[in-house]
This record gives sequence, structure tokens and C-alpha cells, in this order.
Amino acid sequence: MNLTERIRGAVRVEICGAFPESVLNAAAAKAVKIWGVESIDSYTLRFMAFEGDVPALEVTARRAMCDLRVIYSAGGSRDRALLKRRIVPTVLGAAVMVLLFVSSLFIWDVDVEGNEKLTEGEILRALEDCGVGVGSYWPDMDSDLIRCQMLLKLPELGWMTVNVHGSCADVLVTERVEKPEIYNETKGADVIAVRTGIIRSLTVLNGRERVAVNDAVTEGEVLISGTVESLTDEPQTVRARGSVKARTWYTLSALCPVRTEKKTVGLPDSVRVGVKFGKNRINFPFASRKTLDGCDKIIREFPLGVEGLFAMPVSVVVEEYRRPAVNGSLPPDVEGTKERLLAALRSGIDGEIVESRFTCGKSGEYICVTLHAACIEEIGVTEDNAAG
Amino acid sequence: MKKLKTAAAELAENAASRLNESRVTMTGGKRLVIEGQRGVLEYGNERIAVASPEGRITVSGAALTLDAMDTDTLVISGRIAAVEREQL
Repeated sequence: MNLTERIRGAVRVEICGAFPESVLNAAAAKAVKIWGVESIDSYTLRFMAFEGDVPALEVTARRAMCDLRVIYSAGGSRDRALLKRRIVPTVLGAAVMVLLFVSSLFIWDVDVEGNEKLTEGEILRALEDCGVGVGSYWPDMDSDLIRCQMLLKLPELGWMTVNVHGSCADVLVTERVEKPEIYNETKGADVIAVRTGIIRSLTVLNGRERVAVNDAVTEGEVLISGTVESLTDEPQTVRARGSVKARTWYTLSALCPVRTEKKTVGLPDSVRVGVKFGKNRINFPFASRKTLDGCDKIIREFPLGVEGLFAMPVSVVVEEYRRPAVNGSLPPDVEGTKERLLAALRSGIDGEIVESRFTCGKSGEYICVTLHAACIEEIGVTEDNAAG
Repeated sequence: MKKLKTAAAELAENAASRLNESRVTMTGGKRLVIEGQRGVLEYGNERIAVASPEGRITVSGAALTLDAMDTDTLVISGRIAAVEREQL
């Protein structure tokens, strides 16, 4: 059934008489539209017609001495009656559809992607200054203008764009890549040791080496000099470059408590529910004055909508207040402390740990865990010399 | 101007001839359009007879149905086997 038939209403009519074809002819003569004619037997025909044409067909059938019977009807007055009976759900449904449509024209969720140095908060605050925030009317937004304003506000940004889909604004940012330090090749520089150690390998790319493999060097000692002597000419000043790997030693200590209190999670002492409309929040109960000092406050927000598809300006907020309870104690976390010490050392050296051992000693309420490690690492750094 | 006069004359001639003539158009043996019909004389799934200014047009076949009908035209569909014409 097409839309016209649904709106006007279609009926299946049965004509029974000595010459039912005459009804067809009379209907055609009266410009009554009929379709889907089916012959049941020599005296009976069935066809479709619009609901509004039934009175005219009845007159025609009577004149042709035929009986007319409506077998079924669909759409038209039947649908209108159904709609009338369900007026409340229909109006509500229509109102929801309108609200959804209007709501989809505003931004209710902003996601920032691609930031490393800049925090999400900094970007969101700058965006809000540019008119992009919760509740902004997105059809008015000009992506190019926002980009220009944001690049002026945040010099750390290299590029950005705002994509809006279903009330969610995806902010894609690319941070500016810092310009690398450009060395002046004509300016003299030495490679000096940043740690005390014993040299294990030495590769000189430019300059004159001042130490040899297996030499012990102290911090600040020149390893590769930028001053190169010449037999025929005056000494040349160059920018010394090279790689100097040395065996170095480290001693790192950390304290770990002998007793660690175990916090248990029980049932919440108090639960407060709120509804957030855009940026405004309504709490239930309205006038809660209950003091909950010393409690852990856990806030959970449940936004209405489908993630990645569309967002709504309404979200349910549940606040739970839990009083922390200490229930027993945990053994000292010595192994964890050792792992953390090793991780701290790995992140601080430009090389690898070749040897490591731990010592533990109790000191009052704490256990002192000490890491003794030997590493092979790069100790040479280039530094401008006085001659340059 | 002469062309326009010729076209108008043709149209007038067509209109006049349509009053006394019918046009039968069959498409692929499944659809038949009769223009200038004067009423259905007989209707069945295997045989439909239509009155026309020149006489009776009988369409025979299988699963024949009258798809649409107005004062001048009717459309028959189904597996059309034969179309016969009886002169008045």
C-alpha cells in the first residue's frame, strides 16, 4: 500500500450480481479510480477503491442491481481513529522526536583527541572561549575561524579541527613540533663525561680523543676534545662528536612501610542522586545538609544517549559517600619496591643494567631497600668549549 | 507558421479519429493497454472482453487482472495469449 492509499484509505469491495462488469463501467464513467480487479466467479468481482468513493460505488451497484460489500479497509479513517484513540502517546512521541531534533543541533559532549603536552582542560577552556562548548549551537560554527582563534590562543597547537556528529564534538588536535636545536659547526665544542665510570667503548666522529678504553673518567672530564692539533698549521677548533660508553655504578634507596593498612570497601554510607541538564545540576534530596567529612566521595555520571552516535543534554549523577574502614594489614611490599627501583633506574640511564643486587635493612617502621647496580651507558655529551 | 498549422490539423484529426477508434498497446505479452474503450463486457481470469468503437476486443490468457480503468483507458495484466477483435 502506497502513501496515497494509506492517507486516503483503501477498501476491497466485492460486487455480486448478474452483470458485475457494469459496475466497473459505471465507476469508470464517474471517474472513480479502481484497481486490482479480481474475478471470483461469473457473478462476482472484487476490486480496490478509495474509501471516499464507496458511497458512489454503492449507488452505482444499486443501479446495476448488484450487491456491494466491503471486505476490508486499510488506512484513511481507520488510521485516523487509531491515532485519535492514542492521542497522548502520539503527541508524546512527536514531542520527543522534535526534542531530539532540536537537541541534535546543540553540542552536549566534547571529546579531545591527539593532545600530549596540552591538557584536555586547557584545550576545552580555550574552545569555550571560542564558542565551542556544552550547549553551543553547532550549525553556526565556522571550523576555519575556530581553528584560527585556537591557534592564536594556544601557540603549542599546530593544527586542529572540530567534527560534529549527533551532538558530539570531536576535537582533533596536532601539537606543534619543536624546532630542533641547530648547532653552529664552526663553534668549538668538547664531548665531556656526565658520570664517573670506566670506558668500555669509544667512537670518535669528529675531534681528538683524550681518553682510551678501560680508562677511568670522572664527571666533567673531557672525553673528545674539539681542539685538533695540526703538524703544519695552528690548532683547529671543531665541534667534537662521538659515542663514549662506560661502565657506571648506581646506588638507589627507597623506604617501604613494615605495615600497610588495608582499606576495605563496604556499602556506601550515603548515596545522593542528581540530574544534570547541560551545566546545571539538580540534586535529590534538594536540601541535603548531611556532613560527610572523612568519607570517600565517588561520583559516577551516566549520560543519556548512545556513545559515538548522539548525546543528550541530560545525565544522571550518582554520588556515593563511603567511610574508609581499616581492616587488617598487608605484608611489606619489598618486591614491589625493588621493581620500582629498577624501573626508576632504567628510565634514568641511556643504556642497560648489566648487574644488580638488593640489600634490605629495617629502620623503625620502615624497611630500607637499596639497589646496587652496574650499567653500561652513554656518558658523553657535547658542550661548547671556551675556545669556541 | 505553416508547421504549426499542420501540427494543429494533425491534433484535430487525431482527436476526431479517437472518438471512433480504439488503440490497443501490448507490452511483452504481460500488459495490455486499451485506449478508447467503451466498457467491460465480460470479466474473468482467463478472458476479458471490452467494448470499443470498432467492436468487441477479447483478451484471453491466464491470471488476467484489470489493473486500472478510467472513462477512456483500461489496463490489463497477466499472461496474455491472444487478442481478438470482432468488427461490428
